[in-house]
Amino acid sequence: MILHLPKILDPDQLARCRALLAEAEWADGRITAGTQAATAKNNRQLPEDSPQAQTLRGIVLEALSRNAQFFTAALPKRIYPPLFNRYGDTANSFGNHVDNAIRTHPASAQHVRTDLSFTLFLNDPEEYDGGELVIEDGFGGRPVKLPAGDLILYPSYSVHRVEPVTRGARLACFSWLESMVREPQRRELLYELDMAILSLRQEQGETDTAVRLTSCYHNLLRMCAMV
Amino acid sequence: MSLQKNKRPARGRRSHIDQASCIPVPRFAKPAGAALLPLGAMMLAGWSLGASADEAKKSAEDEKLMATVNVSADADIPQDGLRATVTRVGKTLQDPHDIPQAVTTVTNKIMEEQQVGSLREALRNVSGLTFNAAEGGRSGDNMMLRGFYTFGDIYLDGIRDTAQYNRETFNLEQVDVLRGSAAMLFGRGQAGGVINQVSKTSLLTDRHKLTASLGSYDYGEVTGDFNKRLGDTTALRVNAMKRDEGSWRSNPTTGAGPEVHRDGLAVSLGLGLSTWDEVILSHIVTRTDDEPDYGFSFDNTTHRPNTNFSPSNYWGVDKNFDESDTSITTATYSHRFSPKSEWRTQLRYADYERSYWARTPSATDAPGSNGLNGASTNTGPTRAMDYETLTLQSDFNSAFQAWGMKHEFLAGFEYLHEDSFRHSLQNLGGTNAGNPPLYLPYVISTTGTPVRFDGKSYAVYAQDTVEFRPHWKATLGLRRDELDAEYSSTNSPKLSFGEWSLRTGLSWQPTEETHYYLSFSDSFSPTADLYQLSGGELPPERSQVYELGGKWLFIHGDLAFRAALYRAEKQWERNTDLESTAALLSRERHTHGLELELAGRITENWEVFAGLALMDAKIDDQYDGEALGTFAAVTANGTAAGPTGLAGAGYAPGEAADAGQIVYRNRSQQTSEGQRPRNTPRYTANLWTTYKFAPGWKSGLGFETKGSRYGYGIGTCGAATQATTGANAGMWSYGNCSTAAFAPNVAPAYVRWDAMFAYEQKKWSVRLNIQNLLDEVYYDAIYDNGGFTVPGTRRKFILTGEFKF
Repeated sequence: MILHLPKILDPDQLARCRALLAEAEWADGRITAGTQAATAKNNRQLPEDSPQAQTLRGIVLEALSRNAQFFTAALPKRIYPPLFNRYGDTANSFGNHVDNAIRTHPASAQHVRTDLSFTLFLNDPEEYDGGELVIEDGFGGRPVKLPAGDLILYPSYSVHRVEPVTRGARLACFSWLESMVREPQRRELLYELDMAILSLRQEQGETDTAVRLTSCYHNLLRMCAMV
Repeated sequence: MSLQKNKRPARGRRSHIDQASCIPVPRFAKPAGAALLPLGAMMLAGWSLGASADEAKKSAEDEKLMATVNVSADADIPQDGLRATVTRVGKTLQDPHDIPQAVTTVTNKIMEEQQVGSLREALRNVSGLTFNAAEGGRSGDNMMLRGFYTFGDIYLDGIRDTAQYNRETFNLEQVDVLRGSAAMLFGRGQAGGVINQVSKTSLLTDRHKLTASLGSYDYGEVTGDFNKRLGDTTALRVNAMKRDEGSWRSNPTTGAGPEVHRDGLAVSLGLGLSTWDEVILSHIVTRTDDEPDYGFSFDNTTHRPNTNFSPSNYWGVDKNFDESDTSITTATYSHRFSPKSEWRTQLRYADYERSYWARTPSATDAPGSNGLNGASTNTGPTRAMDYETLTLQSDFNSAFQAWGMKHEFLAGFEYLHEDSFRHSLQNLGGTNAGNPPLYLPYVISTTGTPVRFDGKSYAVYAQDTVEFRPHWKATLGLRRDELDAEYSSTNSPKLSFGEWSLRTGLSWQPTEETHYYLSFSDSFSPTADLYQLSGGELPPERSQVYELGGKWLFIHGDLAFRAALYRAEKQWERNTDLESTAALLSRERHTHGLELELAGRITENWEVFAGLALMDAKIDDQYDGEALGTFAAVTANGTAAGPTGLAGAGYAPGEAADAGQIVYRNRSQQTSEGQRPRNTPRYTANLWTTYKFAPGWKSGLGFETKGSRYGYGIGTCGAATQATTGANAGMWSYGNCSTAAFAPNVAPAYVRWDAMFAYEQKKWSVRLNIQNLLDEVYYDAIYDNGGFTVPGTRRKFILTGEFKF
């Protein structure tokens, strides 16, 4: 399941992010890639301990905290502190790769199993050419290029790439989540059920049927969740 | 400082990942006045993802503490199973999989499951490792690894811990064995490898554990492991232990038997834990008060354990003792410049005191009641020792990108001051049945010269591992040691050595799970610090190790398999035994070996730790004559007079024409050239495997086997004579040399089986250990110079209760 979550950041937050990104010092993006992915990765990344990155992380996490759809789709258990990257000039692409199954936060040495990945676009598609996030789905891949402030949430098991940026620069925030529900199919099923119950409640109110389905949802979650 | 379990190098291939949160468990902040919400979001409502708008503006300095703040107080700190996933044996924190040298780690879990109390017991899980018994030379922990002495290669958290004493495991997180010469990383040492004990340190959590055990032969132990978080970045850990052990052996005349009485206390205070500046202060005291067990004699004719007496006989008496007091204080300061570069400094003062009076066994005289064997006036080995060390060690390590390549760089320096005193004890009694011997701890002999060693070592080292093309890494390390020491012996020259040590490795890691390597490393050891120095000005011992190995990870890293093929060489090997007059054991020897090791988890319920070592070892050159200095004088009739202090058998001039040359002849009465070295079996193997057969229930089974091992002395030649007539006129020849057949004492091969049953709950568990399940009599340690061997335990049951809170 690939989920597009629009307007995670509002224009004010976006402006603050852009200002911070402009003053930050970028490093080689291979610092967070595994050995295999490192051969494919060619971009710039904000060092995790740079002061700007720390403020930026706060903004993004706070914004995510306010998004119901994000929570219900991801059922997050842990989140890796978000990272920021820039594709442009000579460091402009990231070939086909798959994310490491476990991310270890270097400062705390804590592990996150990467069930879900997300990319939060920080500048508008008009500002650059290329730079599509292509998530392989067995049908040649699905190019994704979203407006600034929008987020794409997709399963980390998929092979994906970022097409070369041929003009301008692409700025984004990205990270990984460990979900309470490890198996993608189960998580997607729960999400579908949740959203179906939501429209049922919206259309018919809190009926007995809705309550019984809600009970089913929670009982399924009890079976699947690992917390 | 020791390694901290919660600081693992990043990897993406382990499945037994900790449950601690990376940042606080994300929760959903319910928007005010929102209409209907999806259930998942509603459920998680009420918390934010960990950053409020205000927190988002936190200063960079505050953010540095993030790691700490985010470890929840009740976080379950991850523990390794039977496979270790992190080690600092290469000076930096690494996955053992990435080290281009064979590494065996005995994890805390194995030690617990086997109810191990002493380091020696823990090392039974290390293949290729054998135990030496003591007489007058080295005593206390004394191991051979790959057939080479390793007592000079024992470390505690990366700092030399080579005193002669018996080490305990109550404060150990794990024991790392880095095989092969490691002088570049650790300084002077030998060919077998390095045994590094890793201490427990304070963790940012509250976790306490108490255990109590009772068992056969008066076995009883209580241990406590208390970890208390005192603040956001401060924690205290206290470990305590008291253990008493008897034995299945006893003196039939007096009823005395070998006994072990040990207690210890270790405190570790961590300040600024998981921040950029971390300080760990630790102090450990260990006391031992044993009745030493010097084992069972070989028969002079059959060269097997004698049949005149039962192996259950013990020759010691109640008056014998082996007491020690060890006190080690360490301060460690780590500063991290970034997640990938760290500067770490350790300062340690250690004081090791020990005194013993032991009774050696006899093959012909029954155990006596007064500390004498039969009519002999030999009262047994005695010793008082005090060994103090002051160490300062500082390392910088960093991973960075330069010249288009990834580097892992390490540089450091070390200062070590050792002050050692050793002397025999004063006999306050006599040497016959009417007036039996009596020794008291630390009451030293009023005659003879104590052995004193006072040495200062300085070292600098640097190592770089370069990924010169994807998947290929080259390691090159160089170290310079300068040792400046004084030794009490009148014939000892001033000891001044400057030696280079090298470590190289070529690694090919085609995938994350596969590592093939080729490595070469060398080491040296002047040895004077480790045992008595004699034999004058010999060059330091030198070792070289060539190793070809492979390491593989299976089942997402849960199971590790490694193989290593090596050649280890050693030159100028010293004798470690004071009783022998020959200073040099061999001029040149080698071991060819193959090692296999499997460690980890095969299924959710099935864990295994197994090792196999095959060793083909040989003494290539026993050393029979080389000019080593200036001969003092040759008298008119050709009689050799040794140089000052070195006169005696074994020294003789060479040919008459060589007058003026010392020729140090060390040809043994039973030549060992071409033979298998002492205590180097052709094979050793070990297995420990556990299976959870029902919820809460676990069973374990294991064995340890060693092939037959030799013990033999290096005798010296009879007096040299000079031919006066014939073709050899003027030539010297050596009486009684190389004529006797090689007839070593042989400790027979053995297999010892152990079993375990446990019922484990979250808060408590009960465990039954059965050691030597088949109740075999087996001979464990062998006195390398011959003489005797120490039988291992008979079947022993130990019941342990464990309570966690």
